[in-house]
Amino acid sequence: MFQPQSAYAFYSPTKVLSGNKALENLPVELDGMNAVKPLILTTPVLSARGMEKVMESAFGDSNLTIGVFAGVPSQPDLRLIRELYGLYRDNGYDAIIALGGGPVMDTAKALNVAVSGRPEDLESLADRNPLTKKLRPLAAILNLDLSGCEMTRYASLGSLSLTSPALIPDLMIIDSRTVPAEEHKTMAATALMSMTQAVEACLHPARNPLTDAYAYGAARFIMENITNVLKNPSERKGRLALANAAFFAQTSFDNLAPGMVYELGMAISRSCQTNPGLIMGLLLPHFLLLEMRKEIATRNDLYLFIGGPEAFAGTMAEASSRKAVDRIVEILLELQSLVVDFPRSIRDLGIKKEDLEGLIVQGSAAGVRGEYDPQDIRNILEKAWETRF
Amino acid sequence: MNILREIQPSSKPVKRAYVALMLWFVGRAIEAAARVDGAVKAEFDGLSPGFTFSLGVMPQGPMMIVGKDDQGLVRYLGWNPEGQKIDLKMKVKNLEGAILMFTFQESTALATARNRLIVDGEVPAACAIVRVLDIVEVYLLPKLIAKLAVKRYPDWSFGEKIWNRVRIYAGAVLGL
Repeated sequence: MFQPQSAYAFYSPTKVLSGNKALENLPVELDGMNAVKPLILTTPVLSARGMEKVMESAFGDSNLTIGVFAGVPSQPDLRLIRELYGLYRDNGYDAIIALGGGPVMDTAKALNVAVSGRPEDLESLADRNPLTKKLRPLAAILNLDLSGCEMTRYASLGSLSLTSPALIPDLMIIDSRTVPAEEHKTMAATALMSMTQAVEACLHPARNPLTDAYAYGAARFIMENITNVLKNPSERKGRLALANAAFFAQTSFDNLAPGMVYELGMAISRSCQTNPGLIMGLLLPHFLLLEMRKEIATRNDLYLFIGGPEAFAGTMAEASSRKAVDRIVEILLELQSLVVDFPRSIRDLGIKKEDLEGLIVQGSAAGVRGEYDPQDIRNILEKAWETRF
Repeated sequence: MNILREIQPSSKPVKRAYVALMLWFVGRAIEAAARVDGAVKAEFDGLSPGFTFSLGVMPQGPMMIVGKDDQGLVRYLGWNPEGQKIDLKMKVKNLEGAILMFTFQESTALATARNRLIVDGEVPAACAIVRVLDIVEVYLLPKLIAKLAVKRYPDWSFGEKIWNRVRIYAGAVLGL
């Protein structure tokens, strides 16, 4: 129910183009941002899969010249940004297009800071000094291999953590040609990351009507499509829905502080080099059970997000939260049956019981910004370590 | 250091030629339809004297221009906008969007809803032109295809439709 006394803010400056032939709008959209010579950044893997050709075709008949740099590594660093800065300036580029998620998007955001001012601005931004100049146009082309931060204010580059609303891309394009089927594990991890962001957003104490709307869209798209996409990766509509869900989830996540499952998932991922989305999927049911037991932040319509309107309407109010947890576990089990090597617990990732203490300290210190009781974090981690789904 | 490649994307001559041909034909068909169909004539009568509109593809055409002359008759004015005072510019954002429209995979209304068109001019006039395009497409296309191309297929008598269709084709192809 709308609460007139509640004040809230919501920020999402991105223009979204999704669907059939969405990519062909790039020349007109760039023109609208006074850009005529874009630099496309991508990875060697995506280039080898023919994405460069798709981009070339999308710019066909536009009379524009495009630059393609297909050498973004999995761990971009400042050296790369300095090299790209030189290429960008020397060749007269005036916009950046990030073709792909994760490191490509981090590189694009960092390069945009550098070319809109000076490369030194990156260190300044990492030191939490605000950006003073408006950034150049940045377009993102999402796929299903995502880090969870592509459409947010966050970027990381080696040891540098960059945070500024100005980093959010101006334009996002989701086109079935640029959302190819990835490995099952990658698609499952991306979907679970988005699901975690959506569920944590809809349970967040600072949630608002717009974060709810985005979280609802994300949760419904994922729950309705993830198993179909894994069973039939050539199903174009489902892949587009998952990419859209990632944008929705990231936008709601970006407007709220990161949640406990997200932070713990990232911390565990750093220590065991496993995709954080898979870890978040293992933590999420335990987090929901904890929320249910504490009966504080849990909302009574969580099952509407997770189960959909029909299932929600057919469930007694007192059973609704439990049903939400059960449905999440069901989806997790389905994904485990469809994905080879999906971990069954965080113990499977090589995490030892004594490692949990360090993770609890990390989680309750910098990670979750003191919002969560260390006892809650211990509870979730121990359950996730002991339980094998 | 990784290689940076600069690419000058190629043009799409076959698709451009197809869209140019369709625009030429539809432009001439609108001129003919304004003579033979009461609804099309009424739509143009409602527009200001000398009203001219263009429908084209960004960034560099092809394009068709249609307008009312001094006597209020509707004329196809060719493809070149130079020297023409155009009151309403309807631009498809890219060639692929135009192909979707002119292969009748998307109706004009659907293409507008999907953000494929930019309209520069008065909205009521643009709505009138979209209605005219719908009527002309019903005359030009077999029912099976026209149903895909228009928002709502009209309930016209068979004889009237066929007789007007013959006259519009004759006008568009032969200039009669």
